[in-house]
Amino acid sequence: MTTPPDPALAEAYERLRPLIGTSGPPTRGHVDRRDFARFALAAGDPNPIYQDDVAAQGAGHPAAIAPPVFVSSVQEWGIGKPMAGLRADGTGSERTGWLPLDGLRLMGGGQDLELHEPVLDGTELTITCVLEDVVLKHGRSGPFLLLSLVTTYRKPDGTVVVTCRENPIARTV
Amino acid sequence: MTETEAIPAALAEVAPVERVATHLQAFLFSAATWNPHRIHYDRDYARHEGHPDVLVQSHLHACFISQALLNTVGDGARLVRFGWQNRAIACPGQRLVISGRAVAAASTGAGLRVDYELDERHESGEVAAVAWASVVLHARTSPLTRTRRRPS
Repeated sequence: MTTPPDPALAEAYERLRPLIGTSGPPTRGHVDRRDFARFALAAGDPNPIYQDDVAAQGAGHPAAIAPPVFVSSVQEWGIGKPMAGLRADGTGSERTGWLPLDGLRLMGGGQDLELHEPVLDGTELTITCVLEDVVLKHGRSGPFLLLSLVTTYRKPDGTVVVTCRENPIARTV
Repeated sequence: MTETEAIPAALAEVAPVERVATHLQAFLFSAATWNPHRIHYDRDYARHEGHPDVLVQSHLHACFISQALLNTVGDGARLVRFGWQNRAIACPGQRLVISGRAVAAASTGAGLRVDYELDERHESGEVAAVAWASVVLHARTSPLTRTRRRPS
């Protein structure tokens, strides 16, 4: 059975295709231990290496480190968009906000992280999100777009600390 | 260069750990990650999208699973790869059980690398998320010195 055509999705596909291989404007993020500690608290993680230098040193790190899932969980490194600038579902933060997805619902559902080195308190990160591919697919519940995004988190010297690959899907609202 | 090694017995299993997210936790996790997606705190909106309640964040599932693994391998092991895929929604109040096992080990220049497969299941047995991960144990670290912690 073929799924019915979805003009809005087809238009979004045409808007996204020329962007394959490009990235949104790089964003800057400052990581600090208060954010590590808040993240660990919210995630119910009592490990002291995320806030205590002595505990972190005992585990072989120079200082407190970020929880491994922290940097790729952060949706916004700056202030964020004004509320009126967000999509109806509240999404539209800076990492994926550059993608022309208006009228679509973006659903995550996992990431694949390469954790090249621990992220330390005080690091200034440069974050770049590349649209590697977009494919128009037809599933049981209708057509959708499958995006391939690769986000890299770099230190000021250019060293990549985390690479995040993910394949969110976009459907019409 | 890597060379296949036996999986250390103490690291072979990630024993089952139960986690239950709360509404407060879902709110705090959205706040800590500055995530404005309404599906995690606005029950009316979540229902409008066809869900019974607000949803536990994809990344919070990842935290539950990675914590279970790191609690098994200890602070001397470094997580070098962690991937997960959400397979079913979960709402605050639902019991989730995380477990896993080592599937391969290899010596590398940095130490012993152990690869894992993990999952997180609902009480019904339905899989909420699957995960794959690799840790590297530094040569100086004995897995027997690891400290087990309970989720706070």
